Amino acid sequence: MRLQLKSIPAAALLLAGPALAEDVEVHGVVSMYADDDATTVVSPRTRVTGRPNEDWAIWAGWAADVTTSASVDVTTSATPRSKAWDETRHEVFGSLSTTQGDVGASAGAVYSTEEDWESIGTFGGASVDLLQKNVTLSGRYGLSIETIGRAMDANFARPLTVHTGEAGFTQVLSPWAIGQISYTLTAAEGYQQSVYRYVPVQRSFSETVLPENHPSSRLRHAFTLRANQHLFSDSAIQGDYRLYLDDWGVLSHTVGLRYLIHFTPGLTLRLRARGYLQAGADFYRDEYASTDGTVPTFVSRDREISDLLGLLGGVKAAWRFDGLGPISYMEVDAKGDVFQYTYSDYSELAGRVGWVGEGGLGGGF
Amino acid sequence: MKKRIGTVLFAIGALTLLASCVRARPYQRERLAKPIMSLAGDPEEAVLEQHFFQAREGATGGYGTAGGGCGCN
Repeated sequence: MRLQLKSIPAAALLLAGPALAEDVEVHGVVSMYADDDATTVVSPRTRVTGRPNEDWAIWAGWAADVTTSASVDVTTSATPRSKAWDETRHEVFGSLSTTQGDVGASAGAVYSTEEDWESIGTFGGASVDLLQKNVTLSGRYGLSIETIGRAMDANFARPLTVHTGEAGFTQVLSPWAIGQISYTLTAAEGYQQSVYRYVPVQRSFSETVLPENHPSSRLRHAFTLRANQHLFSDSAIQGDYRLYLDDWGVLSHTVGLRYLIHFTPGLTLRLRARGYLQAGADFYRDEYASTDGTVPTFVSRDREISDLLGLLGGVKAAWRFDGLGPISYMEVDAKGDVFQYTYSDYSELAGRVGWVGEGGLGGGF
Repeated sequence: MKKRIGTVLFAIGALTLLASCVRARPYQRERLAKPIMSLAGDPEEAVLEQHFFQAREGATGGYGTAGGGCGCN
C-alpha cells in the first residue's frame, strides 16, 4: 500500500502511518526468503487500519517469521542446535496516530516472541510542518525490553534493553523534489551475543573453545540522506545514503537507488539497487590466537559484524483498482529481489546468494 | 565521536536556517503529492526489509521503522 500525503511534507516516514481517506483498510503481505546457506524464511504480515474521523487513525496487526536453517555458523557449532532447525517468531503490534493542523503525533507498541526470545517495545513520535509545509521536523523515541533465552534450557534468561531516538528534517527542494536528513541513535545494554556460537582460540600448544562474548553495551549512530526527484511523464528517481558507526568499531555505508514509473490506470513499476559496505567490529577476528596464554575478553563468530559487502537488486509491480462496489480501492503488489553477501574475513563461508519474493494484497472500505 | 555528532547537529541547524525560503507554494505541489514521490513508501515493505537487513548486517536505524525484537541469535 502506498502512502498518499494529505499534506506535503508530513514526514510520514518517522510516524509510520498511512494517510488515505478510507474508513477501514486491510493489508496483507507474504515475504519468502531463501539463500544458498540452507536458510529459508517465510514472513506473513497483516494490518488493519481504522479511521474514526479524518484526524485519527488506529491500526493493529500480526506478523510472523517461519525460519528453517542449517546455516554453516550453526552446523559447525558444538551445541544442541548443530543441525537444521525450525523456529517461528510471532509479533503483534498496534499504533495510534493523529494530525491536528500542522502537528502530528503517534504512539504504539510491539510484542514479539519465539522459543528463545521475547521482546516488548513501545514508541512515540511527533512532527510539525513549518513554512507553509515546506519544512517538517520530526522526532521519535522507542524502548525495547528483550529477554534472550536458549532452546531446551528453560532456566536461561538474559535481559537486553534498547533505547532508540530519531530526529528528521524534511525539506521541499522544489515543486519537483523533496529531501530529508535524519539521525538515529540506538543505545543497547545487556546480552548481545549468540548463546549458540562458540569461538575457538588457538593457544601455544592447544585450542580453547569459548562461548561467544560481545560487549554488554553498544552505542549506534545512523545518519541518512534521502531525496526524491520527479522526472518527465509520471516517473521519479529516489536515492538514499546512510552512514552507520558504533562503539564496537562497525562502520558501514549504504546506498539505495530506485526508479519508479506510473502507468495509467493504476500500475506502478519500481526498479531498485542497493549496496552495503561494512568494516567489521574492532574485536572481531576470523581466527583468535594467543601466544602468551591470555584469553581475549571479547570473541565472536558473528559474520554480521565482520567485513562484508552486500548487493541487492530487484523489481516491484503494484496495481491499484478503484471503485469496486463496496470496496473503494484494492491494491495488489509483487516483488522480487536477488542479493549477494560477500564475507572477506569469515573463512567458514565466503558469501551467500539468495532471493526474496513478496506478494501483497490490500484494500479500503 | 562527540565532534562528529556536533558536526552533524550543526549541519542540521544550518539546514534549518537555509530552509527559510518557501520552495513550493501549495498549488505547486501536485507532483510532490504523488505516491511515487513518497519518502516513506510502502510501510509494510519497509518493516519487512529493515528486519531482513538488520538480521544480516551490522547496521541498524536510519529508516524510521519500529519492530519487535530480532531474535537473531
